[in-house]
Amino acid sequence: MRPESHVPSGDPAPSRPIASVPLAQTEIDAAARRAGIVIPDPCKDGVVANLSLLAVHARRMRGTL
Amino acid sequence: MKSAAFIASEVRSGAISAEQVLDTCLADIATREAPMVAVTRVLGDRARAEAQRIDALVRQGIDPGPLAGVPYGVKDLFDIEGLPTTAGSTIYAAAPPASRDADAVARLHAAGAVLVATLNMDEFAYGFATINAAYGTTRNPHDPSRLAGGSSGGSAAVVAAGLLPFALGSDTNGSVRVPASLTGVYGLKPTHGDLPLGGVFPFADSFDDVGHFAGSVEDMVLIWQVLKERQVGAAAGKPRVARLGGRFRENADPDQLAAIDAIAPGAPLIELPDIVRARSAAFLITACEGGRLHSQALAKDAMAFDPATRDRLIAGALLPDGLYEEAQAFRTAYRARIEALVADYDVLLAPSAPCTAPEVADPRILIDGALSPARAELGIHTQPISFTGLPSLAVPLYRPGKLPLGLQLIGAPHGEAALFSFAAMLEAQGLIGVTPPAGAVLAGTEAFAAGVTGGQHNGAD
Repeated sequence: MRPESHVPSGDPAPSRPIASVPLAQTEIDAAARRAGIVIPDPCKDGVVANLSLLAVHARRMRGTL
Repeated sequence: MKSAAFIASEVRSGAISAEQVLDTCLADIATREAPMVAVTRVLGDRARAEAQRIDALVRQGIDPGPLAGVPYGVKDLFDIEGLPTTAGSTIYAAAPPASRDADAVARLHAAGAVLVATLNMDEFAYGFATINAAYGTTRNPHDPSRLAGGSSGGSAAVVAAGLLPFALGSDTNGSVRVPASLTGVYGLKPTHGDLPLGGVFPFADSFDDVGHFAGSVEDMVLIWQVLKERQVGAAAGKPRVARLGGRFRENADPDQLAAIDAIAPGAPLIELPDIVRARSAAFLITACEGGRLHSQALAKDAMAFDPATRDRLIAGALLPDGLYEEAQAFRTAYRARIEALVADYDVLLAPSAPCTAPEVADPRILIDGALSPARAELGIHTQPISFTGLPSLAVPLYRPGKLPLGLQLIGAPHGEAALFSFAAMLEAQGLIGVTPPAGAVLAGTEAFAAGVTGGQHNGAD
């Protein structure tokens, strides 16, 4: 069965607090729980590295880097 | 392999049969393709039936269509009736077969084209390299020690090698334009949403587009018209051309910049504002949409994914909704700004991939003076254009004896006709055009080097 995308609407939400990329291990674990994903051990370092890169992109997008 | 236009003309006139074309094509693939790792499935029975249908129509005096008997292949994410759509992943290798062809494939079928093969890609189209743990790394026909680019690498490679006159791919952040540039063929990312995505395995809905590869501008237009289901009129008047400056003149091969300046000397040098912010927003939207798309499968068995994509997809699935919404809001505002900025021009010139094809053994490229992963960075000049939704035609610089380099011709929304007209002029001047791979790097035959005849440089040098 082909997957179906479940992304938010993309509408601006100015009242929402600034969203941040999960970087601390507790934040990553909580985000993984919300997504229903158990991160396999061989993936943990790679996931952390990718989240760090995405955090850099978030700062660049906001013009703060 | 002759051009699509030539084959169709010969088949329609009865000078050659579609089955004869197919026999030659299948024999060529059987003898020359394996070292390239570009084809994932040869669809012999289906192709035979399609070719026989075309020949029957010709015998009855019925025109089979503008692509009569022209063989082609599709990236492994287009639905093909009766086959599972793998999207380059073993996870879907045993998926239920598609109940019908993807819309783009159906349009090509209706025009008489003959589907011959499915083609290699990065798993789920997430990469610019076509390094696939399950199906192998696609090699560049110009130098098999180098990458063909991705994610539509198999599609670009078969056209560059002259195995097929055209192929379909998909372009999300540059997945048609990057491999077109590295293998030296033409490739189009249309105005976002202009070609039918029905039956195409998605990657990131905000940027996904169907695109095609071919060996000449004539073939690009011919196939574009079939996919659009309408004739494309000639562009009116002299094109208004500008060169993209700023970030687009950094991280580029000097030969690309020299070619741009030679093509349009004195043309305005315009800078797209906030291009770094735009590319980062594109990264975030892509990561979020890709991650969310595969979150259930990741939850079920993340280790079934390609090691090259799974960590990226998991990270994307963990991004907060608010960040995605913020990136989308930025995109909406940015597109409006850019469309207003480029409204005075028909063609914007920029590099496509930032360099020649990287080595398979060391898939890294220099970005801002540091070695960076080619899988993520080859799209440095294409990803920001995808973010705008503008059409972009990748064209190969004519440079025999050297590794391919490409440029982007970027247009106004729905301005593809102007891009094709401008490209045809450059091709006639000998500035762009396909250079057949030199030597017998893959096949050990002279036929390999002579393979790409459609759109081959016209000898103007």
